Amino acid sequence: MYEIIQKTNEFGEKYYYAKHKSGLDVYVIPKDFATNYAVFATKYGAIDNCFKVDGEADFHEVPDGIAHYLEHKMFENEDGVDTFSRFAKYGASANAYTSATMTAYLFSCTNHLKENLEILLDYVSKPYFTQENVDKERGIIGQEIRMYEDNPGSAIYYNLLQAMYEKHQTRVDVAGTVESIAEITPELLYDCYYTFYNYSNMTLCVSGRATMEEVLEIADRILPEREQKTIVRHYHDEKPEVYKKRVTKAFEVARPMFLIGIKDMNISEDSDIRMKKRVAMSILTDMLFGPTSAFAIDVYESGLVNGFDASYDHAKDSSRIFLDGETNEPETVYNAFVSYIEDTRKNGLSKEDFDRIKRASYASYIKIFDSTKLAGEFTHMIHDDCDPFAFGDALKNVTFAEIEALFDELFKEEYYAMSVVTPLEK
Amino acid sequence: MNQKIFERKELMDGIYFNAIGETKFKSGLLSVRFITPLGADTAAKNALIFPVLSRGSQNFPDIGSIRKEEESIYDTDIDDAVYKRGDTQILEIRMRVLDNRFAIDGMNITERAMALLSDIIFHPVTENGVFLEEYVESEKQMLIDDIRSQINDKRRFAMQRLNEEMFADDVYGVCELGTVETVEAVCPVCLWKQYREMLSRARVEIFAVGNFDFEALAETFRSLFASAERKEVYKTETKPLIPKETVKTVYERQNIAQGKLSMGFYTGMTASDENYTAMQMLNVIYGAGVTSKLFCNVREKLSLCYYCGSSDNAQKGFLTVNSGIEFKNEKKAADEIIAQLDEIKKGNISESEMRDARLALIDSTERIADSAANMLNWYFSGVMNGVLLTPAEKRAKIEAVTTEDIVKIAQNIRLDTYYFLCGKEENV
Repeated sequence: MYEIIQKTNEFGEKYYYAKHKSGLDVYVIPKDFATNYAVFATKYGAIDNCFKVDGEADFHEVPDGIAHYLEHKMFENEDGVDTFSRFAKYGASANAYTSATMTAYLFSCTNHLKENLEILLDYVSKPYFTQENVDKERGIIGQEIRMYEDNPGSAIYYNLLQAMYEKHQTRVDVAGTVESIAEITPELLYDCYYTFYNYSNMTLCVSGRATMEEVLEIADRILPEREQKTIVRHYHDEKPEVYKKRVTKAFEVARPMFLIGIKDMNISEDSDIRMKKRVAMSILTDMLFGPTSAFAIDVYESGLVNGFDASYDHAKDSSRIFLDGETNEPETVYNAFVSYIEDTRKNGLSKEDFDRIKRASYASYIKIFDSTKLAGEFTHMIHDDCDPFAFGDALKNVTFAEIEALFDELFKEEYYAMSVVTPLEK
Repeated sequence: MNQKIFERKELMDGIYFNAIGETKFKSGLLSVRFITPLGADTAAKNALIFPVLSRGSQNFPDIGSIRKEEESIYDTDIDDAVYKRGDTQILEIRMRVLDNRFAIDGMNITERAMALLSDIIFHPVTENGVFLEEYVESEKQMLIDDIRSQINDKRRFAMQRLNEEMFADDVYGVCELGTVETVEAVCPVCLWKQYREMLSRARVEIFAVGNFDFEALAETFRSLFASAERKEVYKTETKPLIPKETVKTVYERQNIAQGKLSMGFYTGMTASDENYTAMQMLNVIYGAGVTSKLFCNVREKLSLCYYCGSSDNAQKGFLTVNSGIEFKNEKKAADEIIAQLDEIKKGNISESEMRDARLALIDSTERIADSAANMLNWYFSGVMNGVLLTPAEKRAKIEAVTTEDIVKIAQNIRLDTYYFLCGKEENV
């Protein structure tokens, strides 16, 4: 009844894909491990606060933090039985999380995979929001927000995003604020739910001792018939330059922390080009700022930075490089970064570094297949419209010339911003 | 995991090689753990040994050449760690090595990785027969920064302060990183002495997990340690917590938005106790995880917090409860935490609570086989506790725990130390 597509990669890993009649994209990665892992996710996150369904006249604007609030409330059931205890009956550990672009519901278990899959598909398909249970959650999420208020790592991160992006929803805090969540009502939650939790906007990815036939059979049985909708999301226009160059906040910390961001708004509509760029960006980030880069070694040996780290972060229509660490002199670090880029522009990138890092990146890609948690990695790639195996191929095929071209377009002063956390004045 | 081969042998006095054969992974794990007594005067020196060793060795004399070699051998990450386990301080260096069959250029990845690891452990860069002063001073500064930065993470800070207060008169109260003062006092000569002493006197537990030629690895380690000039192995015994006669209460103030409540309880149960598994069940029912009494009541029913959970310590015989709350809710939360423990003491444990806890523990035992790191920890705990159970044997113990066992253990549990990190403007 269903067309099942099988793919095998060069080191013998397999996955199966099928489109369920509900519109749901289903992936099964067979692994002979004790632990099974499943992720049921919707392409809906903190940045999706302005949307409509195709055919509607007006956009709906909803309070910040609502996707995350909705995730919390999905665990409530009409019969009063808590979702966690349904899973616990079959020995599974369940969890969920919300990011800028995704809400994911997951579990892992060693036994009773079928029963646990049934529970997963069932509870995420049955919203139950009342004024009472929505109000009750405000205290819990309020404390989650308070916890992050005391967390300098979280503050430095959102401060940077809000400096880099003037309007684009990337600047929205996933949890919202105590004020914004005060506006959330059962009606708003239902509106978001029925817009974004339609199955054509969702994926199911299972890794472990499962077959595609079993998973489809469960989906047939559990998923209710639901109208397929086309969602129109509105993201606010954003210029390529950063909004503010600097943002600083005082905290009860021992010494200053910095987070530098390099903004990149040049994201292609074409998913293949996006994937190739993502691969090239991660290699370039490692070449310039990874553990073996001249910059990382220099700030370590000179003692300028403790715990220096660099990462590349990518969402559908925006991407950025982050550099972070602790230092007594954030401005010195910033200036060192700017002149390092200028020196590299003059002297060129090293082909030897490229070859070594490309090989190391491929080795780390192989290592993700050592755990059934790879269902999570798969989900991220799939939500980016990227075939997980094609990603491995792109890693093998990326060329030095592509990296050099990327370097030239990416680094301009007007794309840089820095967020700093300083100790409180005594 | 039953079919996995675990073999352990003593290479020389106090040096053990543990082999766990497993072919399903694409990478293997090699770890060397040095077990030393925890002490206020040695903690800082011990904490500095591996960071300084990782700065440069004879063939890879600076951090750049070490890191480049790691990358060249298929991203073999070498990590070092220092942590506390009962009254011991454990110094570890480990690496995750890609299986040789994935080398596109025929490289023997394991051999290259072992060459790097042994150069780091046994052949550091020296001047005048001791560590390079530049490396020592630089790592001291970073360690001091790390110690000072412990204040940044309020949740961990509160847990650590509880630990210090609870074990103020016990060696377990010593921080595994040392203190700013003891780190400052370290010099290249005394660090070198400590390093040589670690090599000659620490009990060493070597673990290799994965698809390795274990015979060859064991031989390599045997010849490497031949130069260690082994002497009498350190005595490392852990004394359980001695409960206080009255509860110790500590309030501390910081400029923060959310209060952190940390409560320490005496349990008297350690891993060597015959019915320790019942203690683990008690912890799961009480506060570990999302179906526990603490989660269901303090969070879900009373909406007092985002997190409230317990964890038990199998070496020192205590249990802690941690929660982040509004300052004004301190008493309400603390009362509920105690009330839920009283429920267990009174035997108010439902059948479904027993079943869920059992399944959760069985599940976590069965999934050990899926991770090289978890297998390492499982067998390491086994050899350290002197109770080497297979997962199947552990499962049988989990199945055998009764409600009565749990209620009996609960009778001895009592609050020992109470710590609350609160805001500056609030009244306590």
